[in-house]
Amino acid sequence: MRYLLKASCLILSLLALSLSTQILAQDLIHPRDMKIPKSEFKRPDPAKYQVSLDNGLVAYVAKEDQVPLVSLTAFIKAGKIDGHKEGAAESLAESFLNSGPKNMSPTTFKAALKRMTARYSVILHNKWTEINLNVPAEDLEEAFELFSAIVKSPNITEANIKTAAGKATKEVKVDKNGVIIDGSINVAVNKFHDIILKGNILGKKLVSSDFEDLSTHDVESFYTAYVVANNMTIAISGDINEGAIRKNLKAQFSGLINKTLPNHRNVPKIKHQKNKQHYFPADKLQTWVVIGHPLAPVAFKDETAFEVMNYILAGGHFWTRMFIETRDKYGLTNDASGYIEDQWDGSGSYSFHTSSRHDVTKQLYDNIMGVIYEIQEGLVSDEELMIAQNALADGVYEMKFKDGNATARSFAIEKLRYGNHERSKSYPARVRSVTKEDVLRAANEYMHPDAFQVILVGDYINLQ
Amino acid sequence: MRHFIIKSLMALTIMGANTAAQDYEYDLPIKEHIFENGLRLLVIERPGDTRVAAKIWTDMGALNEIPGEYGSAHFLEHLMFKGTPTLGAKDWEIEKPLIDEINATEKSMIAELNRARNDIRERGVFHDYKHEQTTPELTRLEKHIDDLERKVENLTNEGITMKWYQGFGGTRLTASTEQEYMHFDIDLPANRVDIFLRIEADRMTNAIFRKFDAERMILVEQRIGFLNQLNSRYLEAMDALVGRTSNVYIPEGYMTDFKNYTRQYERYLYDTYFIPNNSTLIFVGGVTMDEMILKVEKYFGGLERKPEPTRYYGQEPLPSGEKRLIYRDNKLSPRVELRYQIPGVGHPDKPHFDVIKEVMRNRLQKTLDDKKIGGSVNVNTRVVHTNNYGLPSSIHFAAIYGDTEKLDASEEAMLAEIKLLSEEYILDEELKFAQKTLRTQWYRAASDPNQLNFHIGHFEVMDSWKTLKPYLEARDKTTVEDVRRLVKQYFIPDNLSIGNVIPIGEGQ
Repeated sequence: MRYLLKASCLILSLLALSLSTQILAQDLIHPRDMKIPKSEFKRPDPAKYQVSLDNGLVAYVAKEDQVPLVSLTAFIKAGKIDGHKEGAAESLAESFLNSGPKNMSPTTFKAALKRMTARYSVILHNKWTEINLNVPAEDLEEAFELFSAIVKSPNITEANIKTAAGKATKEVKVDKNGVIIDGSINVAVNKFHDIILKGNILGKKLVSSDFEDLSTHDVESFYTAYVVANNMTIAISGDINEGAIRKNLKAQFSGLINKTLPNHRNVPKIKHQKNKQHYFPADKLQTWVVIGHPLAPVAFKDETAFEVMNYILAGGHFWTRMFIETRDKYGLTNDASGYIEDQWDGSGSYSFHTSSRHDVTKQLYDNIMGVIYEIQEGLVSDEELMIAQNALADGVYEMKFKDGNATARSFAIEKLRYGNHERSKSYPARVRSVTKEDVLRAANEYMHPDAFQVILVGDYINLQ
Repeated sequence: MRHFIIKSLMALTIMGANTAAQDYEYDLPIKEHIFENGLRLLVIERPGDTRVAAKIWTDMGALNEIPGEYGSAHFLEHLMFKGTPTLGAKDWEIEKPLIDEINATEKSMIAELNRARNDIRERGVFHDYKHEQTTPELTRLEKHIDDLERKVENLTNEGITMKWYQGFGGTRLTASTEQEYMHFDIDLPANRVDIFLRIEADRMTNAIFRKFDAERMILVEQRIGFLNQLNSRYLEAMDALVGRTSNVYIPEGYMTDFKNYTRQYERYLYDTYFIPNNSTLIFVGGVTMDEMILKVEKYFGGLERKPEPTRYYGQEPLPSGEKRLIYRDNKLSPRVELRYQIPGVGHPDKPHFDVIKEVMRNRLQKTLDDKKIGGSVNVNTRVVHTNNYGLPSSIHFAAIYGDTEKLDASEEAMLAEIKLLSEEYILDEELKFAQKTLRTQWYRAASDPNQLNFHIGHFEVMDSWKTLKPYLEARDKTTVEDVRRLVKQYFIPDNLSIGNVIPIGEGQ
């Protein structure tokens, strides 16, 4: 009996011990005090991906075989503002998109894309163009042929010029009273661009007559002037045989010529205008607001300071001063964020986008302006600086190289824009070297509330 | 020229040597571990990945809401960003009594509200009838809560959970609540996954509903943002036409619901469903199952298993008659839409409907074009926000036009085409192409660890993660006979809901 009692006590003790180890105290150490290790990320070596052809064309090839897909992308340094004939870039982009290469009909081209279940897009930027083709690996042979043929000899037709004209001259729909029928943040952003870029080549509005004067010969001339080996890069990634791709790149693209390019159009500096409110009526439940101005080219030494400043102020995520002072504390808007529109050279823009129910638009505007003035007046905190630096260096930057597809794309764009990979190499160190004083200086150097253009799409309210 | 062709062929043949993708299997090496407290851990190890896509899934959503409180699950997700005693509090010792007083005051307010509301005999009779009345006591209590909230505000650091995620390199910081689930997401450097576990274990257990009324207005903002889209009211009307009882067909809160939300009801949802045995952690990326078991145990091991929550058990009645919605709107493009109710994920027929959707997408456009009826064809299974449910939802065939001239002909042609599908032989190549389209769509999703994580979690809450792969494989095995059987069984008049969008003044 005594033995049994002893045994029972032992069992109970063991049980208690077991329970106490199962129900552990929750580890609620503050994140600040956690010993989180440094990120182990190292930017891949671009040389391992790079293929340089004798004609100057540079490609980046990356194997990424998690799924049997392949991406083929061409980046061409020619965009909306290039060329001596208006509408040529738009028409060439439509030709790339709609009619494929010269050696097949548009119908056959579309059927080929469909058969491959391809995802195909052509994106025309102000100063560059990208052609993206994504297909199952089983269709790589056909896709590579097609992709090469589109880049080397696009089928430029009158129909594409017409399509381009329709898209480029499209206006926002308004009713008989001038009220915008389908208001949105996009409408507000477009109005913002119209206002700040008025008179500048970047904001040039194409009209029907631009396209009426345009011939397929003009578009061909644009193509032959810009789509040359030394003015483009290529990224190929996915479930590929890298050696075979490298060989085939040479086979398909060595014939592209390398030649002197026409000068890119000079983009005059966009002048600041005096602070002004612009109103566009829209019959909606919310008002959309864009606040901003042209952004002078940011000096290389200031680039990361400006990025860090924007990250702390309104960097498009949850923990920013603007988000907290508009959404978290007062429930005024679903989002209020800052956007740096970075041109490849010349001026861009810096603006803040938001929306709200009509009755709180004024308060929303005041709170946004409040945090803007605040960051221009005092130093950010050590913690704000640390969070922004880590977020940019360990988050945003790493994502650009998160897999083979992202890596090939990032390197190809960087090469086309800067000619080398020094910027991406030095980026983490440059971000981490930003000081609080640098942030304050960037806030004052590149942000000018007295030049803000304030666009309202929705209900009218006097924000001044 | 001949030389060029031979060279090209040689190069292409070499490329082809590595692309036997038609033999590819759905590669889902998911590892599972279930902890003693019921918490489920799923990991796909991707050696070499420097980052990891992390999500925590809770098996609750709009399905668990009651009328008058629609959207409260979504609201709970917002409230769960407001911190805990250890995240966001400047001084919890001072803040806690204030939070307690807010909750106690709200209880008194609810009692007063109920008393005032119950005095109204025909409450809820119509949207513009008064549903409640204010009283001096209600006004006093509301003001008292407002005053207390302001005091709490001074004791709080906002955005604290996101702050630390961002500070440790987190990206894709989101959360989402749908009919069947809520999930919190992040993409992190793989060696920093501890920060996710630390914050999510705390969020699951100790959430404080700060800034309740300010956050309520964010839902209003999101709702009116949705209503600003031209087609939103029409789509909601169609959802309501198709379904009868299931919350699958109900939006995430009407304007009248938002003011009804209470801390008490949100706390009930939180306490009931945010428990380890109703949650799944999923990681896809540069981590291993072995290391994750230890880490998860460290942060979640101390949480106790709780009583199993009641799951949604409503059953959608059998459809019993053809229905038609005439929706008049001058801004929305005229259209005709045919919807049929179909089963959800977990039902053996569901994968075949994905194939039918793709077959019909191609067929309908071709048929309408061939018959000079034209229009822009849209075939989908989207209800409210998502495409897949573990409950009955619907498949939609729509054609959109610039005017109403072709609407009748379009409806007739689409119905005829659907009928043909049950009678005429479907070309094997049509089926194969639909299956290839679905495979490609899947590969595109699976190539991104974040999306792959989403699909695994989605299946886990709808049915089981174990049925994801069989689901994908079943689509590849769909036969012509399957299609004919399902068309005959489901695409019948009694299961048909038709929508017509026409301008105001027409058809009256």
